Amino acid sequence: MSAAVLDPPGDAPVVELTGTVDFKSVPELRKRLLKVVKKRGGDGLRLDFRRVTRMDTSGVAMLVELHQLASSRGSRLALIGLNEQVRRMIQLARLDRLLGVSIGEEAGCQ
Amino acid sequence: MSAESHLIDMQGLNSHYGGRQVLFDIRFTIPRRQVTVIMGVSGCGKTTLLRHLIGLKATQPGQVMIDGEDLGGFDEAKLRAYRLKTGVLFQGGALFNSLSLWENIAVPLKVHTRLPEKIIRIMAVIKLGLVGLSEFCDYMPSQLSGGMRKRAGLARALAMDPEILFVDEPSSGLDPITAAGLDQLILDLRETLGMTIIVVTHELESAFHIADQLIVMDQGRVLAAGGPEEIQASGDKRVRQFLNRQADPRWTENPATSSCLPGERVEEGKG
Ligand SMILES: Nc1ncnc2c1ncn2[C@@H]1O[C@H](COP(=O)(O)OP(=O)(O)O)[C@@H](O)[C@H]1O
Ligand SMILES: [Mg+2]
Repeated sequence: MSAAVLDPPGDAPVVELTGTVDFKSVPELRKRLLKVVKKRGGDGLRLDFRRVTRMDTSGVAMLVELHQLASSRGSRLALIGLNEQVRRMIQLARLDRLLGVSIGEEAGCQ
Repeated sequence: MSAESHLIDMQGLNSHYGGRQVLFDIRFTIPRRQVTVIMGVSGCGKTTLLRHLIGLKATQPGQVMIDGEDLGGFDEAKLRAYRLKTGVLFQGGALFNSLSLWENIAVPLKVHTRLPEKIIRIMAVIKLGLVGLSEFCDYMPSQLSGGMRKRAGLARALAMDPEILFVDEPSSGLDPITAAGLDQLILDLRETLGMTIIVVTHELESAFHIADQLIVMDQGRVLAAGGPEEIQASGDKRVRQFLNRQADPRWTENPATSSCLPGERVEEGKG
């Protein structure tokens, strides 16, 4: 798993995730993402999942925590390019509404 | 598509307790991403079979292949890695009574991962949500009904997102609505996550509802294996006996159909 933080001036920061988001990668990944949300406060955060192959429940839990932190700062999380498996994990947990993931969402669309 | 499509290949499993043999040359395959139901009367060896598949009872080499590898030849490390991929809900399904529900589900996550407590708590609530108990995360097991404890046990079996889920008698002792909810969850887990699920049950209705494949056991042997229609249509006398006995909860039998009755057997019309 790798996470590249792109921080275009004046726009919401984008984090490009690559690989597997699971109980092995989440501890480090979470620290980095919490830092971005804390630093950029109200600007929101776009998480680009296009190169994520698989996510487990720890990844879903991490998204919930990030969502809560962003909301408490009056901003929101945008998830981009979720593959079928990632979307299903979120839907099974019934967190698709909370995390703004819609069924049939096209890769790359918001 | 030979070995690859099957996750588990039983190639003649024999099992003993002390000198007594309880499983005899068990052969069948368990396909990936499907629900396999193992049926049979009490004492026929279902739980023993599961104990082998989970790695709790030693298996002789050459009898059970898991993902193309010999379970009987697994060393400690291999066995540990395999167990991490499996979730188990035992018949008793015991929870730790001194821990709240969410803490119970946290146990495997704390043992096997470096995830922070906050993430573990959210994961536990997600898992409890799957079994309809997210509002009860801070309850103690003693405050819950038997059916709720069973559901919590299933949530704990799912804690590590297992690829393979083993469930022993999930609906015994559950009211019909809870039992139906459990069946639905098993189907959802297969559908949504592509989990490979092995369920032991003697509830016929549930078995035929959830199974992609059914294994009927009798006295330590496989009587029949196949899809629900195939088993339903089986002409095997002992399979028919099992299906009919289970369909009728009454103990009273028609003595005319008993093989103990001397003389011609009377065929009973369906009523
Ligand atoms: N720990 C044990 N020690 C000795 N015999 C056992 C043990 N567990 C089960 N058995 C015996 O093995 C046979 C199969 O039991 P089990 O696998 O529990 O069947 P089932 O789950 O189908 O009811 C039974 O005859 C049972 O008495
Ligand atoms: Mg049993």
